[in-house]
Amino acid sequence: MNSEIVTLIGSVLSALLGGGLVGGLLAYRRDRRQERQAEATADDVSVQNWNARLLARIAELERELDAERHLRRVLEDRVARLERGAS
Amino acid sequence: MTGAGRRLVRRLPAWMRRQPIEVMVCLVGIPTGLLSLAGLATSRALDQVLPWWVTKLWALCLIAGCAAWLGGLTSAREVDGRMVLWRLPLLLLGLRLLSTAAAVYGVAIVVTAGWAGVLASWPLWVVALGTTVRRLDLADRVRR
Repeated sequence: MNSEIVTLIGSVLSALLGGGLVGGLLAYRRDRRQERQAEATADDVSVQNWNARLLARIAELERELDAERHLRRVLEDRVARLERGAS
Repeated sequence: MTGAGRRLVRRLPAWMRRQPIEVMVCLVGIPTGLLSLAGLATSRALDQVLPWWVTKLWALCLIAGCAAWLGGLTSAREVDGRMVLWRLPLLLLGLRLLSTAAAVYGVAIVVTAGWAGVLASWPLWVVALGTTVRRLDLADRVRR
């Protein structure tokens, strides 16, 4: 093959190699950044989920506590009535 | 022999057992790149087509590509029967560098040897195409 054409192809291949190397490193940096952001988002989402679950548990416990208080009041009223009846 | 082979394979880490072809390709590329970088092994095709410093850059690209790919492959862990990659960006970098290096070498062989070089460069085209397809598929799956 003509030496000029070989030189031209050599230049194109050099550019391709250099471009591939630089492009690869830039893509790596971008991917790493995206991965870190995704990790941060995942952490954030998991903390939010945990918070929501804790809030739901607190609400459930408060409901149970209210029910217990209501039963206690009913029992206290009944005991008071019985004591009044006995006296 | 078969029993001993099976026992040996069972002792290998999961990332090697599940991706042996990929690991072997990396192990082929690293010594080739190192010898080429040190000037102990030369390629007539690369020497004729590329300036000397680009042949060194090519060797560097090959070593870095294989090392990065291997680094990505070793990060594969079995989770619930599925292989999960923990260093995907490194693996993608390796695939990109390796496909570039393989394609450049393939073109250089065809330029130097003409049609006679097509068969010789065929494995390089296969590697370049295979690594490109793997990279694009992985990148696409991550974005989805």
